[in-house]
This record gives sequence, structure tokens and C-alpha cells, in this order.
Amino acid sequence: MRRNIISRLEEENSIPERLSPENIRAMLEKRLPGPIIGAKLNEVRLNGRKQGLLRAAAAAAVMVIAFGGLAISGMDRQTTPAPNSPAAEESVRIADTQGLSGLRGATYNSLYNYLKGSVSESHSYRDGPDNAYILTADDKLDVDDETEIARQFRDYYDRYTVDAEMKSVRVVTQKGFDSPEVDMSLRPELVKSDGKTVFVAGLSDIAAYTADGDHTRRIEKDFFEGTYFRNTMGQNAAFQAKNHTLKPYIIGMYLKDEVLTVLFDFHNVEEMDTKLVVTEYCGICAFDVSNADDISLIYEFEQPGTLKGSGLTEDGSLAIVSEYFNGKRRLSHFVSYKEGEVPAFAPFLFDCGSVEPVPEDSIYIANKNENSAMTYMSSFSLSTGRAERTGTLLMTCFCESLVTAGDSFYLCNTYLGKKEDERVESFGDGYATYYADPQSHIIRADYGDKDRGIAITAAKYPDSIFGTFLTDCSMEEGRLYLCSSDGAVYVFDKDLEELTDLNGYDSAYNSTGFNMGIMKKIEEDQIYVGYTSGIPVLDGSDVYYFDCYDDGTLGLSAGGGCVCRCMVDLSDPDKPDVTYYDLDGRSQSDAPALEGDLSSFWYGRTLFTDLVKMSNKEYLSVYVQPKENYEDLGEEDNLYERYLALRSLDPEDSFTYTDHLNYGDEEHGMGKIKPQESYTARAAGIKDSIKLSDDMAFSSMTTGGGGSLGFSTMSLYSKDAGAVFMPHKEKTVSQHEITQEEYEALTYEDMGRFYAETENNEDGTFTTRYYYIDEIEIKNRFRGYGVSGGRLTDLGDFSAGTWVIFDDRISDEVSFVGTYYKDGYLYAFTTATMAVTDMETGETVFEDGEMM
Amino acid sequence: MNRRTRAGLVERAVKGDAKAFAELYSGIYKKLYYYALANLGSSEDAADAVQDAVLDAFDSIGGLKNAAAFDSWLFSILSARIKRKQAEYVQGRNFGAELGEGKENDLPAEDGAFSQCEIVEGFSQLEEKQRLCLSLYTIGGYRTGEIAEMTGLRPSTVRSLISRGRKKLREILDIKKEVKK
Repeated sequence: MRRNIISRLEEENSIPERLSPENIRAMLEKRLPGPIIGAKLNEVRLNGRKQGLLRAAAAAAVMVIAFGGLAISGMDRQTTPAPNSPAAEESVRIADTQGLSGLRGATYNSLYNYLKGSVSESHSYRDGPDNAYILTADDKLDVDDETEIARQFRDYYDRYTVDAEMKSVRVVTQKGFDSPEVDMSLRPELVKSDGKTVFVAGLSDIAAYTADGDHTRRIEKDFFEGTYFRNTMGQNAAFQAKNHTLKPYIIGMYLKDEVLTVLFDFHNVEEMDTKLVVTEYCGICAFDVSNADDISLIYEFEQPGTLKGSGLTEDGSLAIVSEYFNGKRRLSHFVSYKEGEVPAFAPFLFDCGSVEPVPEDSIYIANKNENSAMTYMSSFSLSTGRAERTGTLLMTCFCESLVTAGDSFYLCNTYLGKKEDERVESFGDGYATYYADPQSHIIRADYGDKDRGIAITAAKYPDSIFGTFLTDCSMEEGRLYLCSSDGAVYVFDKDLEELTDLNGYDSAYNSTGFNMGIMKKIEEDQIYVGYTSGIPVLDGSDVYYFDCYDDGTLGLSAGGGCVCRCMVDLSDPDKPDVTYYDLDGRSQSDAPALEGDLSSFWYGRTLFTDLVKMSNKEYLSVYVQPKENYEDLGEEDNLYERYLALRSLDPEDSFTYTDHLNYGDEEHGMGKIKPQESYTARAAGIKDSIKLSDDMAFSSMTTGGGGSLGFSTMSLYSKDAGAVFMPHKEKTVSQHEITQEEYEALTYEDMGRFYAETENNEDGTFTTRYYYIDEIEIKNRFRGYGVSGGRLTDLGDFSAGTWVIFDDRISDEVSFVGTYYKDGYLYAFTTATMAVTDMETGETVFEDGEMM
Repeated sequence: MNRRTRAGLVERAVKGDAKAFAELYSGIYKKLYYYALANLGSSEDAADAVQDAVLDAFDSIGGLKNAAAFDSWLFSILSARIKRKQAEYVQGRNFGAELGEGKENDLPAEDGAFSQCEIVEGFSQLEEKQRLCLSLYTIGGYRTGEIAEMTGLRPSTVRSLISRGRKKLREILDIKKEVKK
């Protein structure tokens, strides 16, 4: 198709003569040397992750979903039953907000007034999860779309939760690794097992297999059969009109006391005045899995918004948090609303098919909020064979950052101070606007009390200006430590009273008498490329400030090393104590080792990924470095070598290494660099490392089709097997050569099945060959690496099933999901295939395809 | 052109060898032009954009450290030129050169094939991101992962944009076929 289009374009529109290589050569030879690109590097570039955060922050701050021109008349009353729990007419109970700063309880009427007056910026901004899940009225959904959207929902959730958990830098200390109190991951898993049955979450379905080694069998179970989600919501007139099947976009699962709880997002599509209106919803389905052959649905719940986080306590308290972007979507209901009515303008909850509004005493209006975004939080009690909802809250605010510590969520919502006129155009049809002086509102919600259900227990505005996003979180002796995206560090007590803050270098100077400001040395004519300075990372009550250098040596994107510049001990918030500093980079010998910068994942000099702690002495990580001769390699070569490393947590084993940083080369334009100079940094000692096979492409090493490796390493490490499993694929294309005539006769329907290759001949002519693809076989595999006695061993490949397709364009569509190990057998899963392998013999004993 | 040759050409081009640069350029100039055409819709503007991008690239090739990345690097520079040109459209500085204008776009289509004007016009009706990704995919010949690297979008987003763009383009072209009948 690609060459085909070019051939056809060439037939219809010849290339202007002035672009011929000969004329271009003549033009270049006449050209006087000198800079052409006008763009100058006039500011320090943030690394990719930081930029992403800022972009996302700005986008989130103004993101509203537009349905320009839609006349929304109301819910689809044919399919959605009326609410069955109307508000009490006489004595309306509203939420008690005593002691909660910045929140007020609301009645339906005040919620109506709030939403009606809220800002609704109707740009055509369609960036939800990766720009895909919000559809306009004219968009149509088909099965492929749904699969793709499911993938993007999962990516989105990964990015929001798992990536959020990926600190830019992790300090390699025992303390840092031993701090279980705070979990920023909020991540249910994709493979769960009770030892008898393995459950695997595909993109839009759940599969179950008996964990019986060579007697493994698939348990025939349609998990969503009989759900209100499918039977009622999926029978929406809008879906029927479009001949569309509603699908869940599965985020992950929890398994607790023989109850499997599946978390998912979905589109609730409603037809309003012949228009198709898509609303983001999420839900849970809980199944009693005590009898694998009689798995039964025991509970189901849906609420508005896209999932932003979840948590499950040891005693079975489950909570979910979702963000619903535009509470004003049901505009027509605002017009018809009468005081005291159940609010049809706000989306409903669906509890086992019972349609309910959020109770009035659970609605909070955030005082400084002005937009119509709403955050929903619901809690549930899970016990053997039983699940029920214990509460739901609604807050009129975004859910910009969310972390969990124990049975508490900490939500950080940022309000924008004075608005500047600067408008930053983003890519595509929407735009984001940057504001200045954000102020944050931190809200704690506890969900561990099954009788009370989820409840807001603290809410404060920090005294100081706060960054837009939380980047790190720790807890020590009841104090909460938070880092924000602009480099500030805050310490709070259990009631969110602010104890102290280090608001960047200046603040640290004021607090400690230690001038960290001089770290930010940037000479006017030598601007670092991708230099980020003074990023704080927490290790319990210790704050480490580091500088990070992106590495442009490959002419590609970010990567590089991080240098610890300073450590501040905040164990006594009243007396911050600088315990280490190295401002000029003369020595790093006393610095802690760092693992850092996940943003360097793709092309970094060193790949830092999430870490798998093996013991108190060691952990696993993966790093990447360019091959020594990478400059001589071609475009089809793999330029990088990847290593799995068993690293030491012992500071005594850390070592100092030298790398290079680069300067922006204004003379030659944006992104160009001058020769580098060196810097030193510290890294954790490597006990053992093993080179990963060259065919283990980056893209196939991730579970989310491009997401972080961190999740996969976490889920793919098996303590029982004593091994970590790294996914990779082998693609075999069966094809035959066809004539140009046959090639030209192919139609759009054949896209993905043919291609052409053009070679330049030495005499300046071209030879084009045409091929038709008969079949593509993709062998999905996991490479096992044993971890034992401080050594790594290559255990070889284990099958995750074979996928046969006929369209090359979807060959990278399969995502790896995870593995499970039991009794010498490895159960390996992708979204399309699975296999069971006897690890002793390497024989694949069971295989299943086209799973979900 | 083998890999060694390419690395050698880049090395020579870095030293200011226009012949070497032209040789590298010869391998992709068709893709560059039609990619620009799909995004700008005007032959003149597309040729200008390619020419400008080539000059930019030749002047800054010293910053290219990886010979293998020459093609995608040049595409990135061209993308910047295209965006600048599109900004001119928006600002009205180049009014009259908007998508789809020009006599050459009135050529009739052959049976079973879409004419340049239809394809280009079809592209012009896509959203910007769709157009960019789809043209890099179908004309540039890049895979989704590579496009993700070039554009900074996530691979899944690129796949989605291509999928939707392709579908929409097809609908547009189908409608045109129907109209002709």
C-alpha cells in the first residue's frame, strides 16, 4: 500500500524538477555555509517525562470534552430506568465538612447551581486517554476500535498509575526499598491465581484456566454473561442502532477470599435527539470463584468517569476512584431541573442494576474549583462469596494526582491562580493553556472502615504554592512527605497540617542556611540539552536533590545519568539538615547510588526501569547501552544492548562512573549538540549481569504495547520459580513475489498483505520487487532468567502461544499480559494467546489461541 | 545502498559534501515530496517545504550522530517545515494556497485507482494528527513504532490515528467514487 500510494501519486503528479537529486545537489553546492534553522534553544529543556507531566498537567487543568453543536435532550429513557431512591424532600442531609478546608457539603440544588455556573470550555479537545476514547457524535465504533480503545484505556491507566509510581530517580538504599507504607502504584494485576485456577485479563474479556500443568484446560466461562452491564446497558438503543456490542476495557483484577473482582472502564453510549453521546464510565464485577466450574457473578457496580486508582486492604476493603470530565454534559437537564428533584443532570450510579444518584450527604463541592469535572470514589466490602458497596462520594474537582498509603487515598487537586494570556498550542485540534501560580488542595479519603465506607477525613490547602502533580510520596512516623512536579517538598502530619516545606532551592536555603541555588549553573552560551536540575526524590524522610542529563549522543531522545547533588534530612521537620552535598561535581564518592529516569526507556544510554527487590541485599533491574560500534551500524541494526542486572543494595558496592553531557548548539539549531563534557555519578554495584538477546525488541518487552517495563518486570518475576521472564516475539512472514500488474490490481481490501521493495542500483536506476503475504506467524515467548545465589542464569525461551495473522499492520497488536508459575510449569499469556510449558523439559504442553 | 555506504555518505555530508548529501537524499526524496504534498495539498508549497528542509538539514547535519537515523531525521525537519507552512495558512499569510487548490488537482481518476487530487484532498480532510501519522505510514513507509518516535506520540495512539485516519480516508474516497458514478 505504501509504495502503491507513491506509485499512484507519481503517476498523477510528477515530482517538480527542482527537487531532483541533481538539482538539489547543485543547490547545495551553491549554498553558502551558515545557520538556517531559526529556532534557537533559548531555555533549558526538560526531560521527556517532565515535559509530559507539564503538558498533561496543563491539559488536565483545562480538559473538557466538547460536543460542539450537540443538542443534548436527555438520557435514553427507553433503556435507563428512573432513579429509585429520590432525595428526601423534607430534611436534606448534606455532608459534614467540619474541619475540612476547602470543601462544602452540597444538596442536589447546590450541585445544580454549581455545575450550571461552572466553566465549560468547549474546545474540540478530545484528549482523554491518549486521545482516543472520547468520540464525537459522528464517530462510529466497530470491533477493531473497541479493541484499540481497550488497549488505550489500559495504557492510560498504566501511565497514570504505574508511571506515576516511577519516580524519576530512585535512591538505592535499604530504607527506600523497605518502605511499604506508601504505594503509588494503585495497580490491580492482569494475572491472578488462587493456586487452582489462573485468571487472565485480556483487553475486553477474562479467561480462566485450570492450573493443572500438562492437564491444563480452559474453563468455558463467559464472565460478563448476565451482567447488567451487558444485558441492559449494552442493549442501549444507540448501540442497537449502530449494531454495536458494548465491551469492557479491563484494567486489572483483584483476588481476595475466593472473590475475583474485575475493574474496567467502558463507554456508556446514549442516543439523545438522534445524536450519539458517549460518556466515560467505569465499573467492577465481583465473581465467586470458589468452584472453578461454577463461577458466579455476585456483585456488579458502575459509576461515571474513567478509573484513576484503586486499592484493596488486607481485610477486604476495596475502593475505586474515577474522574468524570464534564458534569455539564447533560445540558438539557439543567434547563428542566427543579429544586428538590433527583438530579438527572448528574450521571447515575448502577448498583447491581439499581440506578441511583449519589446520596446528597456524600456530595462535596471544592470551593476553589470552577470547572465541571467530578471525582467519584466508591468503597466496597469483599468477603468470601460476598461483595457489597459501602459508600460513594462525589467531589467537584479533578483527580490530578492520587496516591495511596494504607487504606487512605491522597488526592491532590490544583487550582489555578492568576491566568496568564499565554496560550500554548498543542498538537492537533485542541490546545492547552498554561496558567500561573497554582495552589493545591490535598484531600485524604479513608476506605478501610467497612461500616462507614469511604469518607473524607482531611482536606487542606498547603500554605505554599504547590506544583501541579505529585511526583513522589513517602511516609515516616505518621508524617506524609510529598514532592510536587515543580520540585517542592512538603511534610504534613496525619491531619494534613503542613509541618514544613522545601520549595526548591531558595526555600531550602532559607530553611537550612545552605545555598543550593548555585547548583543551577547555566552559562548563557552553553545551554545544556535536556538538563534538569534540582529534582527532589524521597527516601522516607530523606530528600535527595539530583540533576539529570539527557543524553543526545545518538541523536535521539532523552536518556542519561543522574547526579545526586544534595541530601536533606527532614526527619525533624523543624530542623531540616543538609547531610550531603556535591554542587560542583568534583566528587561523588560519598553520594548514594541512583537508579533513575524511566523516561530514558527508549533510547537512553542506560535503561532504568522498575526494580524487583530480591532480598535485603539485592534487586533486579534492566539497563540499556548503545553498542560500542553503534555509529557504524545501519538503520536495520539493533543499536543497543540490553542487560538484566542483579544489583547490590549495599552502599559499599556502589561505584562511581563517568558519562557525558551535551550542550545545545544554537549555531546549528534546535536539538543539535556540541561535543560533550564528562560528569561523574554513582551507580549500584552489579553482582551479575546477563546480556538480553538482540531479538528482544523494546516494544515486545512491554506489557502495554509501549508502556513501561516496570509493570511487566513486577508481574513477570516469580518468586516460586526463582526467575524473571522477559517477553519477546519472533515473526515469520510467508510470502511470494508478484508482478507489478498483480500488485497494481490489488485493492484497499488487501492492505497489510502486500508491499514493495525498491532498491537503488549502482547505475542510478531502481529495481522494485512486489510481494504478497500469505501468512504471518508470530511466536510469543518469554525468556526466563533464573536468579539464585547472587547469579543470573539464562533458562531459555518459554512459549506464550503462536498467533497466525494475515495482515502485517496488526502484527504488533498483541500485548504481553503476564505469567504464572506452579509446580514446574510456566503459564504464559498475551492478549491473543497462551501456553503452558514444562520448565524442566522446555516442552509446551498446552496452548490456546485467540483468547480475547 | 548498504549500511557502510550510508554511514560513509553521512560522514562526507557532515564535512559539507553536497554530492554525498544528494545521494542520501535521492533515496527518499519521493517520499519526502509526497509526504509534504499530502500534508500541504499544494505542489508548490510541498516543493518549497522539501527544499527548505533539505537546506536546513544540510546546514545542521553536523548534529546527526547516527547515520542510520538520517531518513527519520530528515522527515522530522520536513515536519517542522510543514507545520510552519500550515501556520502561515492559518495566519492568512499564504491565503490561496490552501488545500486542494490548483488545476493539477482536477485530473480525472482512473478506474480502481484514486487520483492524486482525491488522495491529497482526502488527506486534507483528516485531522492533523491523523494526516501526519497516516502519511508517514502510507507514504513515508514508517512503522507505527517509528512514527511514535518521530512524533512523540505513544505507539498505541499512532495505531489508533492510523486506523481511524485510514477508515476516514476510505470513506472520503468511497464517497467520491459514488459521486463520480
